[in-house]
Amino acid sequence: MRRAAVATLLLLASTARGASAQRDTVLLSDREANAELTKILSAARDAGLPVKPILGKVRYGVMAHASPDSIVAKVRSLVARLAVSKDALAPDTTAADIAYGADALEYGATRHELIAVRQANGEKPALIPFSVLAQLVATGVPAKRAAATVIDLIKHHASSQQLAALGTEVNADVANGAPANAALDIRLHALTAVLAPPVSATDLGTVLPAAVIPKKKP
Amino acid sequence: MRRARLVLLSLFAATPLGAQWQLSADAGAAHLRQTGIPEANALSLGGSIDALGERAALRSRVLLSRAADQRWTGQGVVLASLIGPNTLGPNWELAGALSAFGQTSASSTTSAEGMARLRLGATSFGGAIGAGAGALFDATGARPLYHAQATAWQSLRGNQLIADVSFVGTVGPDLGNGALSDGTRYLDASASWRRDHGAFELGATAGARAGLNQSASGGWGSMDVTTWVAPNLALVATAGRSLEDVLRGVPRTQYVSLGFRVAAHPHASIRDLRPPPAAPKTMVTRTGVVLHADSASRVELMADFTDWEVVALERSGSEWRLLCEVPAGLHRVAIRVDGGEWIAPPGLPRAADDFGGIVGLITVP
Repeated sequence: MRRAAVATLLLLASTARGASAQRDTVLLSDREANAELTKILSAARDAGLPVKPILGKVRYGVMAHASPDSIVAKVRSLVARLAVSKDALAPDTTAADIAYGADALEYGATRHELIAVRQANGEKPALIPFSVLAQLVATGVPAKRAAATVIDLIKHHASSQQLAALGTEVNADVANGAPANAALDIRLHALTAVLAPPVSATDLGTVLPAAVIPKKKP
Repeated sequence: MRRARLVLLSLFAATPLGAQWQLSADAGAAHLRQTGIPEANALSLGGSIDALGERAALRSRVLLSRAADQRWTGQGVVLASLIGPNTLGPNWELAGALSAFGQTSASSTTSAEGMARLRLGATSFGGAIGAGAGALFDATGARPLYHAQATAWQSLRGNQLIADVSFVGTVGPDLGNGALSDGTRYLDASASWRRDHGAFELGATAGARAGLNQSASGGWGSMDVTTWVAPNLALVATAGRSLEDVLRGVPRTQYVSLGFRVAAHPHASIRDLRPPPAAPKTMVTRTGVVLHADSASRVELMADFTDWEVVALERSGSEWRLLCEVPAGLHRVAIRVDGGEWIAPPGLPRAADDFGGIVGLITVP
């Protein structure tokens, strides 16, 4: 019942933008928690924060059979991270960037690191760099190193695919027992050769074995 | 002595870059053939140092070899480049190359060259045009050289393709009366392919030369296969035919070589960090989810991209599929097999969620 009640709140909150708090709470049985959620959602909207990740957090909490109080607490933390992310990425940012920035903060990145990644990425959407930052930090790579790695790869024109693959591979390595820093070392060195400025055959000159010149006939 | 200075210079120049390093050493045997020269076998010892900094790259190669008749040859080349700060648009690049080639009882050939390039595109796809000049030092003295180049590259599904057209010219030796003789000029066009596939690295290069002055026209080609047999040890086989390299001072040669490579950093594909091949895998792409679960009779999934609604996957042979739109970015995914507990999908990286569970974590590009 409690699960259904919270879900009902979500439906109303997501579709009835601007609807009164009174309308949201009338239908719910867990009045205190739902009133709090409604208030948080309303405040988030007023602050210009994306609501979708908040609703997603509540939905997942419901599916995980979490208590309403626990859901409210986690939502409150998420909103705080969204606010930090929005502030760090201001003035020109998107809802997706704010949401993925908040993900990175959740796993241990700092506001300063979000700003640094954003600056390196320029005006392009930063959702993939932030996602990889979050994934690396979640894996156990120290946030400072994870941010430096992502920034370095951006500056070397790493593609979204290359960034995403790095995060996934490091995470998989760690899941298989490798230390996070060691896994990042290995994967980075594999990527380094790919990201190096291409060198043509003419640049490198005749390949090494050709240097072995036998003695000429007398 | 000049070659020794070259090697020391390459080490010194790389130090301040704060770069990611790739070091390797090669040891092997080569069989060579040249027109008018008896076929010969030689033992070789080589090394490479590559460094990639934030805006700088350095590559160096050194090879010493000893033929059966106690004859030594040596070759070294160092390429360095500094790239402009613009990460999003056209960019400048300043590049330099130093090379040396010599053999026992013969004068050496060295060269120094600087080049300016305009780069467009990114690492995955782009091109560059440039021009440069330098000097060539050999038995006839010092001579100017000039070099123009256009290069295009593309990385496609793990294949790196590079096409290159370059013009090389030198001024001829001093005739003794202050006048310079007519030099060498030629136009080279080449294409190369490289692929790093698991434990194997494959490469091939083919090219053609149009001799414009005092240089023969012809073609060349080479292939190399590197097989990593241990994290830091590889077997390297190469074969090819090269034309005279005026810039590097290396004569025309045909060769086949086989050797071992010892790398300072373990090769990623060999380091056993990945799940065992038998483990079922999950793939999440922009168009949906595919996972392998042979023995399952029902597989359900919930994820942020399903708004945490439970969705049943459809069976297709040994695969379970869900066709849906998955936005780019970081996603959390959980599956349930045959009504059991919600778990992270097999093969996906795992992370703790906010509510005491475990979800799969995947970044979809």
